[in-house]
Amino acid sequence: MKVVCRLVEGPASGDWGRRQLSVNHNAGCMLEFSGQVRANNNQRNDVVALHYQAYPEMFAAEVQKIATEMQGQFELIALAVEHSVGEITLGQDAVHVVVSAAHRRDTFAALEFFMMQLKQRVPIFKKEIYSNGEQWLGQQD
Amino acid sequence: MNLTVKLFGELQELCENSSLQLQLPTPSSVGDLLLAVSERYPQLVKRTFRVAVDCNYVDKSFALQQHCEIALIPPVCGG
Repeated sequence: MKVVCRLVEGPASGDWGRRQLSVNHNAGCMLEFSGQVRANNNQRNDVVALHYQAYPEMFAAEVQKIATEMQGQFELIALAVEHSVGEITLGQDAVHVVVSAAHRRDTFAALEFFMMQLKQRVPIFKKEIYSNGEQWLGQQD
Repeated sequence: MNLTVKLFGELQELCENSSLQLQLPTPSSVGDLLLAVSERYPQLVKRTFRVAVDCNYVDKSFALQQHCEIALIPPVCGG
């Protein structure tokens, strides 16, 4: 299984991931997911931007570990993950994930599995920027 | 042993630094590290974070080595 990932300053884009996965003639299906900045995150409706920070070395290591776990569950051909770092604004993509397989069923299940794992363990940190302040997410005050 | 501890997100802002320098006796565990962090950086005491060593999440019993890469990982929020 081919696994590629990268962090990109500014918004993520589907182009890079699609290019990485486009040259395998055994792939009958390519499925994409993009996560976008929305205004009503975290019980507020005045989000104007997000600021992402990552631990780059561990980002790559955790993506690889998740991919290894996916290989045991799904018949995948490839996985491409691109995540934003720095500041992005409303409507821009924070993450773009592409998976390919011989058949569509594996791609739907694998993509959901990957996103669940990404949100639980991949070291990316998010600060919401509001019209009148900002807050790192995830701390229990 | 002299250890460098990487910080991210809110932890970085609370300490006004991207890393901490700590000196611990050999041998020391992650539990010993957390005790030293709480004593020297009280602003981190009530914050939520996990510890990673060499890019793997570890628990308090994990034995630290002189040249390992340590990071305090606040709640992750990718996607």
